[in-house]
Amino acid sequence: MELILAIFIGLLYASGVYLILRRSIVKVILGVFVLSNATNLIIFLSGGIKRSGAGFIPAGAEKVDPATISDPLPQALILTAIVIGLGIAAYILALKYRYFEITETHDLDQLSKTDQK
Amino acid sequence: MIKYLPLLIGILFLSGLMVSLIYPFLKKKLGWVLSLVPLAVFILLFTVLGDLKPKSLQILPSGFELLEKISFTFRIDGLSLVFGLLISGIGFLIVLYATWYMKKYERQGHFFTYFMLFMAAMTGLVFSDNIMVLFIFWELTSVTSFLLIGFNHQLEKSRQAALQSLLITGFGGLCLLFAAILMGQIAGTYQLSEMISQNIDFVNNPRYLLIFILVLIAVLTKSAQFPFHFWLPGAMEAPTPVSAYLHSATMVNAGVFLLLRMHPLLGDTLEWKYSLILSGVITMFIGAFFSMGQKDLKRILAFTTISALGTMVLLIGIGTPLSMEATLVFFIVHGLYKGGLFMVAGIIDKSTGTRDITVLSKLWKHLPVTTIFAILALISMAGLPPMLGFVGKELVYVAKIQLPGLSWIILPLGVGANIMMVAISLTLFFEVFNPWSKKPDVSIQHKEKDFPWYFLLGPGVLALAGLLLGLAPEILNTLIANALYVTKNELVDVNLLLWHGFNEVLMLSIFAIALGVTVFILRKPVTKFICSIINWLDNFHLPTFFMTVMNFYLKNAAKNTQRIQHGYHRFYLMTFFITTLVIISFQINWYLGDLVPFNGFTPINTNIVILVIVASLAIIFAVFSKSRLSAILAMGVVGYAIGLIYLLYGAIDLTITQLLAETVIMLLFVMVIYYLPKFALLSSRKSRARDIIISLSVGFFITIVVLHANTVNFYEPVSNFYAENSVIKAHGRNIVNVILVDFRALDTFGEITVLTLAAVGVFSLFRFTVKKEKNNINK
Amino acid sequence: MRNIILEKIVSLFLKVMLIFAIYLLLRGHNNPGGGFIAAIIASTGFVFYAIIYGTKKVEKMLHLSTHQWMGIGLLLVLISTLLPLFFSKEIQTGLWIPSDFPVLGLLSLGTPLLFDTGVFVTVSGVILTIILSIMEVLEWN
Repeated sequence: MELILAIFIGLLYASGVYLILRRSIVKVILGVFVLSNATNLIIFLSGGIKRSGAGFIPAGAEKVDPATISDPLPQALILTAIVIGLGIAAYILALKYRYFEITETHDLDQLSKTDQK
Repeated sequence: MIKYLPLLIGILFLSGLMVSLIYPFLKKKLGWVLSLVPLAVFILLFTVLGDLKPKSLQILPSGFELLEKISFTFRIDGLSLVFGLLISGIGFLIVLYATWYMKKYERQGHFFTYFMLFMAAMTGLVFSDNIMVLFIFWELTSVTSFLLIGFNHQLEKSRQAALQSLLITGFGGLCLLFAAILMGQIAGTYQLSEMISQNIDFVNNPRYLLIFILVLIAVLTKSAQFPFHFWLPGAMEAPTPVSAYLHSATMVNAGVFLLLRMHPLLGDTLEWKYSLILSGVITMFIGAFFSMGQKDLKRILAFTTISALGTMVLLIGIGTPLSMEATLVFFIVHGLYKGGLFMVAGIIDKSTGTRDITVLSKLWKHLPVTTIFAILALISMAGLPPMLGFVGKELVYVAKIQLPGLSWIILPLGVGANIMMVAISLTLFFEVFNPWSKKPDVSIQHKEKDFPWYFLLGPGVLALAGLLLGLAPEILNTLIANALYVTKNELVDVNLLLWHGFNEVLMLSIFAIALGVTVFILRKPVTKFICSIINWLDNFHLPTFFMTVMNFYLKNAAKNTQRIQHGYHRFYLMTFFITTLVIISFQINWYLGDLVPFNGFTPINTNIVILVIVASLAIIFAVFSKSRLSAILAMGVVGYAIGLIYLLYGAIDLTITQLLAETVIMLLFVMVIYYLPKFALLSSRKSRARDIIISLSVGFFITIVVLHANTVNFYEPVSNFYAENSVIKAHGRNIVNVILVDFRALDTFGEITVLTLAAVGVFSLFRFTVKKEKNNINK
Repeated sequence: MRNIILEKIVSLFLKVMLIFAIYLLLRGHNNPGGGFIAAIIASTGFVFYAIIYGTKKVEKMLHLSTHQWMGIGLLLVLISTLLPLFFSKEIQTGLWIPSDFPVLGLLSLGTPLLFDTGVFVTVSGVILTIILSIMEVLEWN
């Protein structure tokens, strides 16, 4: 399973990198999203996928055997990362929107100055 | 008493820094208050003179340590006294002089700030016992003189001169730093007094040559020696009080001071002798020679300074006790007459509005007192009795004759320089002051009685001091003997005399004076001749050459920056990716059999495999899709699939967040997408192929790295602690949530702060805009 | 053109979403849920409301500007972080009201809940700021 997921992450990275190497700004934004998703998966995988119990302590019990639940720490980190990713996505979108509005070009190679036309 | 010296140096610095605070209260009286500080230093040093004994050396630690071994320790010895007296004495006079001179300037406060800092740096320089501290003061003089030379910053010329002097002297300063570090390494201490008392042998050290060359560069640049002499005439762009100070007691003399300081440690080797003699002779001669071809009063004086500095460097190069004695006397002589003459030039400038000697005439009539002072100074410059200049010049001759083997070349050039000095002094007198001149009168804006007494005090005191010391030079005996002991490390009897009787030196003097008068009489053709040489030399104009070199650097820097900072987003990224790939490829274990996770592969889960296949197809579709909307929807599919993968591994909170966030992102995208451009095929087939190769190899590397990361397990996971303590310590059964809001709440705090910033960014990007017609963007 | 049925549905939807969000927020410590999730759900409700009624109405409903809500959220988080200092404990130590306090049975009240509420308010403010700005500028209302 690790092998399949690793290959999947590799594919996501390849797509993301290909997208951010484009000249069209929309594709670059998409590339950033893909990369952030792929990176979240890497963190998830690095926590180990051996155990798949949900990270809850059943009612009445004092504690849970760590060996039965999936690692909660990477989950917490990814949760933060997802929400930050949301913020960054919004910010990049806004930035690109303004950029396009001002320069009226969507070709990144033209992005040499930020002056209004 | 003398132990207050470090305090006074501190007060000097403070007085500079405080100017902006006290200026509003004092206004026109500022100079008076400030002049008290150098006066205090002067009086303090003067009290030491009384009980001065040979070999007397006092080390005054200030208790302030910058770094280990680098402490602000000051030393009082004969050499620092000679320099300190001149710096503080002339400094006092010039501050008073500047009070009136600068009164029409708007930025008077700035001027006095820079000036006091400059004075403080120079004072610190001559009294410091630690070479690193000496270096700090050395660089401070460069920086403050940069500010002073560029004081009239609205003038292009002034800015250029300031930059030139900063670059040249700053470069020399860096060499000095390097030399100081090397010397400190060899000696194990940065204290000069310890180096001397421990008899550190620098001369036979294999690094001696390097140290010497570095010190030499520092001296040549600071003291405006050939081939670095050209910054000094440029520096006359500074206000005249600054020029007077720069030339007479400070800045350029710092180089001479450094040579005298270093002489007991580095001196008297062949390299030392020949390089100093060579540069000194050349500088001495060209300075004197070129000064004849100038018209601007300050420029003439600047060139004579160059010549005088050359003489001093030459004398130090000769290195006999007598020549050292000559150096010290000559330094005092030069300080007295040059300070006076520059101040006179300033007075003339104020009085007539010009400094051109072809225009100036008959100033005796308008400025009688100034003329007397000027004549005394000019006599000293020409080296005629009864001024101290005569004593100095006689000594210089003696020193030059002394050197066997080289005197045949030094002596004629020395006499030649002296002839020029005589001629220049005469020229200045007859062109500028002579009441019987046939030139038309120059227009006078201020008569002498318009000037306050303290405006004339400076040149007056200096001229009279020159006269007094000339008539009774034995006053200086003890002081010079002390300074001599510091530089030569041996006791020499100093007996200065105005009248030596008839001897060969006197003959030389008379010969030089006679020839000087001849040159003066023939000054028209001589000046013409020198001007033609200067014109010819303009082809190799050093300042121009210097600027060319600078421009070459700037242009190349710009070109190289453009090559690296080309502005193409994708090439930056490409560089980044390829570099990372190359670096990783050295680190990676290429044996794929090692890539099994540390506790084996987990069995394949069919549901997840289906999700992965769906997501893979979706992402490939998204990459190559030509429609924006379908690409975004495909991205959504990928995001949801990843969310479901999380779910299948038991991360419920993660799944919910992922699904919701993905929804919001898609919502945002759909809202904005129609205002963004359509996809267009911008890249060529070739570059797409290249990008595919790069991205596939990145993907491949990531796969390997991820697998690799799974093969190791160094530590027990920290989450075991969380799993065990979540209920007991944090009263929560959702471990992920407990981590977020309790165990690692600081992370979350940081995260929502970032989110807030992003929101503020989006808000300002969207709302603070000029509303535009959207027609041409949409569709 | 107003669509009464749609308006009714949306305002009902908003109420449901808000209640659901608060439910998720409160149960988050023991069950799936929590501040982030609740915030996204609550702001989704507002966004739908804004699509039908316009952004101005939402802004009016919120009483304060979305910026101020972000600030309030951060302030709550800061308070929950610093509160332990006044009980001479280290920063961010969880403080709990004794567990026999009868609230909802399962719920434990303490600074972590305050923290999570702060996260909820901040993230809601962030998402609403972003979406409302976009909607306003692109004239989606």
